[in-house]
Amino acid sequence: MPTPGARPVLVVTVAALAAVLAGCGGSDAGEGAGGDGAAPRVVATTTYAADFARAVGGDGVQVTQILRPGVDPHDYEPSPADLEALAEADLLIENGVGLESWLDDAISASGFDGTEIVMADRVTIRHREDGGAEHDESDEHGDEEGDPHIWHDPRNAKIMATNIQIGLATVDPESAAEYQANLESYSAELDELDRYTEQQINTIPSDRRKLVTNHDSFGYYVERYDLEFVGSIIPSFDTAAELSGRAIDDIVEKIRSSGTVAVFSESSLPPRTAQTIGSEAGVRVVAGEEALYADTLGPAGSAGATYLTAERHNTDTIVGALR
Amino acid sequence: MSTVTAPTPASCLTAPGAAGGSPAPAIALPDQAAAAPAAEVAPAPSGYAADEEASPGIAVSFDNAAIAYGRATVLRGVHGVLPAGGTLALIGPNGAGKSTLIKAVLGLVPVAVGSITVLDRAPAAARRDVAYVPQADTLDRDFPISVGQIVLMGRYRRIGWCRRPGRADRATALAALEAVGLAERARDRFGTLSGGQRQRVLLARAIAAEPRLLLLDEPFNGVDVVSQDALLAALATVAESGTATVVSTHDLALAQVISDQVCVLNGRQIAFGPAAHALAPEPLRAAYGGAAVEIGGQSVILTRP
Amino acid sequence: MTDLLITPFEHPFMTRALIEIVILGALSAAVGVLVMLRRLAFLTDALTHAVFPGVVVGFMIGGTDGIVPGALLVAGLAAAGFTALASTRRISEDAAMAMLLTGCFAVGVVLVSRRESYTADLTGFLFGRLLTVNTTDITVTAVTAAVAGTVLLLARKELLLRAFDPQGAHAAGYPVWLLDLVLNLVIAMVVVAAVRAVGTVLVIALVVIPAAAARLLTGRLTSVLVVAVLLGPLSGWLGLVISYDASVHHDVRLAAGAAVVLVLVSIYGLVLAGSALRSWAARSRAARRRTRAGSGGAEGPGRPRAVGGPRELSREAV
Repeated sequence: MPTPGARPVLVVTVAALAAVLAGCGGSDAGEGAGGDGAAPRVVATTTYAADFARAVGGDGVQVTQILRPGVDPHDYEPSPADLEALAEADLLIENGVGLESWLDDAISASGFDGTEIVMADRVTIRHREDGGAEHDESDEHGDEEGDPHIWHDPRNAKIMATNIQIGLATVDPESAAEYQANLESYSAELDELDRYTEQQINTIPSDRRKLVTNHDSFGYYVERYDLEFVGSIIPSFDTAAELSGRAIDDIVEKIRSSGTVAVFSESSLPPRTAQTIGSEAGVRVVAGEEALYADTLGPAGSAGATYLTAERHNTDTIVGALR
Repeated sequence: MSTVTAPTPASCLTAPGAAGGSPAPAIALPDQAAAAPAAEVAPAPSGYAADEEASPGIAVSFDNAAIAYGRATVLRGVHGVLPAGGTLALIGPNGAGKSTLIKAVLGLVPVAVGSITVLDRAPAAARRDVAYVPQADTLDRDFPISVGQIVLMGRYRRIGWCRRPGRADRATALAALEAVGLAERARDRFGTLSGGQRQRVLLARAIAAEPRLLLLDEPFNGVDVVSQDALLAALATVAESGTATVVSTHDLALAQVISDQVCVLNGRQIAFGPAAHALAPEPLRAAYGGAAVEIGGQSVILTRP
Repeated sequence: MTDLLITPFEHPFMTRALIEIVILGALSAAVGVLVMLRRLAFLTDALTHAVFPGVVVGFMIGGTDGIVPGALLVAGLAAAGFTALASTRRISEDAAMAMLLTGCFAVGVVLVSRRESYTADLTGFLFGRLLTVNTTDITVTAVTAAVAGTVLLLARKELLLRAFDPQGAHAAGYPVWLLDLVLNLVIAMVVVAAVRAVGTVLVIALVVIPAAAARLLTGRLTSVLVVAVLLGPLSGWLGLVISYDASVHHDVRLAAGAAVVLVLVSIYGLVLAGSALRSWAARSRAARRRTRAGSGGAEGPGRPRAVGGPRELSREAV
């Protein structure tokens, strides 16, 4: 192969690529919020964190949400935009309890040096009912491991929102009073949600208050509203654990013997497994549009766009199916 | 049926020196080689330093050697001596054991019975002074390597691990390339050469190693006339410089031209000695299974087309 | 446009990612030339699967710091195993390798699935986390590059001879099995170094593609090596830039490791198209020449230049 001919091809290749890139290079996205230098830049990991942050922070706060609606929070690879946002953030709001295992690396890579708020602070964490035997000894998170889905109990949501208010006040003391006012009105709405849910659940005959969900995400809800947790299809706090044959038989047996009338799927997981088990056990499967918002809120315009509407949707769906 | 003819269309071979009437042989005889373009060939580098006398010793000694792969004996009864500086041709049909014998001389397959002594040592111990020329078509033509780089490979053993080739090495390699008449192709990619030219490059690689013993595995197979002449010329100069040579070939006429001794094989040694003795009808018949004929006092092999 | 090529790297995490992918890209490409010459792409792929249980066990025992030792141990064993396998005659070599690699991989999956944070760990191992590499990872990669590079540099003539003519290497007295083992271990080291950055699935692209593209461009060994070692890091740089631009300016998620691989494949595609065009053009030129000259001698595109004998054998590779 004559070498002189090779150089032009290589040059053309690189030039073509450069031309493609030239097309890509656009004006960069707007920097920061308005022109107000004091507006705190907030990064929130989960959809819930972002929702609470907007509720407590109000319009003056710029919230960058890392996890999009419908994305599984247990497994995530931060993008350059995420890391850039983290690098420039004043306040980081995270869930805690080991939900965001990818976050530590992202924090150290981005060089984040602002205030970190863990929403789970001061929340009573549930641990697996079977006790210590289930604990994986090689857990990195040690005592923090437990059920991370703390948001399904509105009382916990109040604590989470309070933590956010504290964080915002630390970072932007001038507007502390405003944040406090937002927190109080939001807390009132959370109380209202709590009452509504309790009242709705009580309309279900007590022998039918049995819940089977896709994974162990409704532990706090079950405890708060005194439902019976029959089991979950993926018996884990993590969404992608492998299903063993015995686990399937187990759950089908439990469904049958407990007289559960419906199995609930979740918005961020494919419903296939739930449907398989539902048909195996001969019970109704709630999926698709009606699926519960367990790990994440829904997109804008959907029934689960905010925490308040999502939890209401969950309650209505559960009550509607079980009653 | 194995073909034992020179690359001429004729299906009979006559011994060289045949008078008149026979078609002009396509092979180059030693005196013709000098007139060929390779006439300016410099003396080939050899394993003997300029002032060192080629020791009147023995290059290879076979002592009733038998070679086996596992339990199966593939070759037996090999017995004979190749003196230093001499040339030995290995003759026999396909599967006779010619390649096996060459591998045994290289120490690549063990000798089951008897022994083979190479340059007064065991075969494996003598590798530093032995060079091997494989058939060119066993090598990948698309490999991105130049002729010069390949010939330089012959120097690697002398250069040793972890060291770079030096000026002297490059000079030796160039001289070896000149000996086969391909010095002007040094920078070309190996695959751009013809089959015969590639074979010559491999010979140059072996010559560059300055061996005392040279082993060639069917170097004339499928080689065009020009390259064949060049190979013969190079082999002649190699022999002049005192390097012993073992060549396996199908071509009886070539064997007679280039070698002092011939070893005829077919699973066992049938003859070992000067060409006149070993390339007689009897041994050839024994090797090739009855296809040898005598015509006008000459030994001839007939093949079916 | 130069703005786009430079500004992302004002962020420290992008700079670290760039340094990592440049070193890794150069190392992989250099090793990749030998992999191409020896046709070891499948073995390299097998090694990327075989190291997986080592990565998992290392992680389980020692956390992120345990990945490299675990991977190295298993990679070394696998490399030795594959070397030994190459000399067996009883089973077909690639079938045996396929069994070994899938078996090892399955062991790794079993081990990983026993942990709670299953998928996060799994995708990290498989696809790497280029944007969150830290200075320890970079140091590991740099040390690997130094060691592997030194080995290849010192043994380059012997590795070249073995690649071109294994029988000749054997005949010359070289321990071919040892040369093969050394190369397989070097490949294993590269795989281990790549695990953190691009993951086991994508490392094969980094190894194989630059050399393949370079080979299309030139038939001279030194040039192949130079072009490959330039293409690898260049693709890394462009991949990072594209991933950054997509994420920050266009709100499109494009994982950094995958972006690098896509750039590599695109470059290869361009080079392939270019060289196909060139040989088509050469063929039609030759055909026109033939018809013009009547029955003149066919001059193929590979005609050598006979420029009178060189006075000295050129200083080419080795």
